[in-house]
Amino acid sequence: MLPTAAGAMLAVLGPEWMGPYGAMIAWTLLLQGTLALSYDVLGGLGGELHLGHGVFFGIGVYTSALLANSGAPWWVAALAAGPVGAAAAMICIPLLVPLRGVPFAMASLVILLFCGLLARNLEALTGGTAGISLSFPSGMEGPFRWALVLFMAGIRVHEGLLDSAFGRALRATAADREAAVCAGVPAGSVRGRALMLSAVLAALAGGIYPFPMAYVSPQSAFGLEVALAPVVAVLLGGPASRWGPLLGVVLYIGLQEWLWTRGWDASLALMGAGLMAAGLFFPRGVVARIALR
Amino acid sequence: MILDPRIFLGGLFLGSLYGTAAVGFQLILGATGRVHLTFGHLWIVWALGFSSVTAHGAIRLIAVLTAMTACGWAAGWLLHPGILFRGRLTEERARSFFLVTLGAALILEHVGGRFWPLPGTALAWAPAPLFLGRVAVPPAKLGLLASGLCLAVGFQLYLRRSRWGRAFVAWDLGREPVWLVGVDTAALGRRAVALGVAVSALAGGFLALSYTVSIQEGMAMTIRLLVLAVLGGTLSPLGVLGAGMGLGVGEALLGQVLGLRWSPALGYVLLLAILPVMGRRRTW
Repeated sequence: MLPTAAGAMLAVLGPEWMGPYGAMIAWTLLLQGTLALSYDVLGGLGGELHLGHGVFFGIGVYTSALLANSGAPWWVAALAAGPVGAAAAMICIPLLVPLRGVPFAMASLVILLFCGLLARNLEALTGGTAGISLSFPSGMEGPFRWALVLFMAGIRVHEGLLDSAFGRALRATAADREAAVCAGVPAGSVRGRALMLSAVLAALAGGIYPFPMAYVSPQSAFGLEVALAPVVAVLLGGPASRWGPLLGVVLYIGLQEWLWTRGWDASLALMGAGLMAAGLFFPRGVVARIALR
Repeated sequence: MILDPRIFLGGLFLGSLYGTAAVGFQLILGATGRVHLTFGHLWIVWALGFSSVTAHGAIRLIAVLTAMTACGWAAGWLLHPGILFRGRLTEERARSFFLVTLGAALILEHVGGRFWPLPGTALAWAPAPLFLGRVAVPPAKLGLLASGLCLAVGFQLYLRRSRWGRAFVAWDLGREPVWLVGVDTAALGRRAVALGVAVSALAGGFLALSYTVSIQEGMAMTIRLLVLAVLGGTLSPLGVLGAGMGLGVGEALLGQVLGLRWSPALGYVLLLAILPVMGRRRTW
C-alpha cells in the first residue's frame, strides 16, 4: 500500500520538483530497481547466478534507440523492447535452462560478452563503438513516469511471485531440481517461463533508458558495469526476499554516488568489492544476515 | 579460400601462448574443481607489468621473468587462503569462489586501467626473422612456442610422476577416494593455485614479448582459457597446449574471413557448445 501511494505521488509530481540531479538519481534508482526485481526472478527465486541478465536490458536499449531513430514515438519504441526481449529469451532458453550452478553462470556471462561483441562489430546496425545518438530525444518527463509505472509493476510481479504456486515451484527447482521433478514440478518449463518473465521486464527497462540520455553505446548497453549492477544489488540485499533487491539497489547506488561526488569513478572496483563481499561474507545477502542475528 | 601461411603461423604462435597460460588455468580447474575467473586478468596484468619493467631497460629479460614467476607463486600461495579450498566441493562453495574471483577480476580491470590506460608491450626485443621458404618466422615467437612446449612437457611429467602431481590427478578423477586416504586437500588447492599463478606470470612475460595487450581483454582471455582447459582435457598440459594452437589457428582463420575484431567470438561459441555437455559431468 505504502509503495503504491508513494509511486502515485511521484507520478503526479513528476521529476521537475526534484531538480536535475535528484531526478537523475530517482531515474537511476527506478531503472536499477526494476532490473534488480527482474533479476531476482531467476537469480533469486530460481537460485541461479544469472550474470547475463543485462543482455535483455541491452537488447531493449538498442531496440528502442533504433526504432526511435526510424521515427517511432518514444513510447512505441520503449514498448517494442518487451517483445524483442521475449524473442531473445526464446533463443537463450535452450542454451541456459538445462544448465545449473557455475555452468549456468558461465554460459550467461558468455552470452553477455557475445552480445557486446555484436554491438561493437555490427557497425551498420549499431553504430559500432561510437554508438547511436538519438535524433529526437524526448526529455525526462514522459520516460520518468513510464519508468515509475514499470517499477511499480515490477514490485507487484515480484511480490506476486513470492507467494504464488509458480514462485514456489521455481524455489523448489532451485532447492533440489530432481526432487522438484519427482514432486511433479515441470522444472524446465518453470525455469523457462521465469527466464522469459525476467527478460521481458529487463528489456522494457532497457527500452526507456535511451530517451533522457539521447545516446547509447555498447558499453552503456552491454558493459559489465551495467550488466552486473543488479546482480551485485540482489546479492548484497538478499536474493528471493521481498525487500532485499530494493535494499541492495539503494545500498549500491548510494555508495556509488557517494564515491562519485568525492571524485572517485570506481564503479567497476565497487562492483568487484560487492561481489567479493557477497561471495565471502553474505552468501544469502545482507537482509538474511541481519535477520539471522 | 586459401589459408595464408603467415596467418596460419601467426595463429599458431598466438595459440601457443593461450595454451601456455591455459596450462596454469587447467591446473587450478583440475586440482580444485573451480573456475578461477581472475586468471585472464592476472595474465594480462603480468604482461603489462613485464612491459613496464622492461621498458625502463637495463634489466635482463630472463631475470625479470624468473622474478615474476616467483612473485606469481608467492601471490598464488598467499592470496588464496585455505578458506576457499577447505571442505568438500559443495555447490555453494563453488559459487562463492566464482563470485570472489569475478569480483577480483573487476577490481583488477579497474586498477589495471588506471595503471595502464593504453595497451602495453615489450616488443622492442625483435631479432631478425628466419625464413621458411618465402615465409618470415619471428625467432622470438618460435622461441616462445618452444618454451611453451617445454613447460607443457614439464608439467605433464610432474603430474604423472610426482606425489603432488598424482594427487592433483586423483582429486580431479574422484573426490571421495582422496578424502578417504587423508590427502591434505587445502594444501592441494593452495599448491595448485600457486603453480597456476606462477605459470600465468611466466605466460604474461611471454605474451608481452610478442603481442600488445590491454587489461580490457582479461575476461575474453579467461573464457578462452576455460575453453582450452575443457577441450584439451583437465590436467593434460600437452592436450591444452595443442587445443591452444588449434584455437589460435581457428581465430586467425576467422579473422581472415570476418576481420580480427571477431576473433573472440570463436571462444564464446565454443564454450556455449561445450557447457551443456560439461555441465552434466562436472561440479564446478
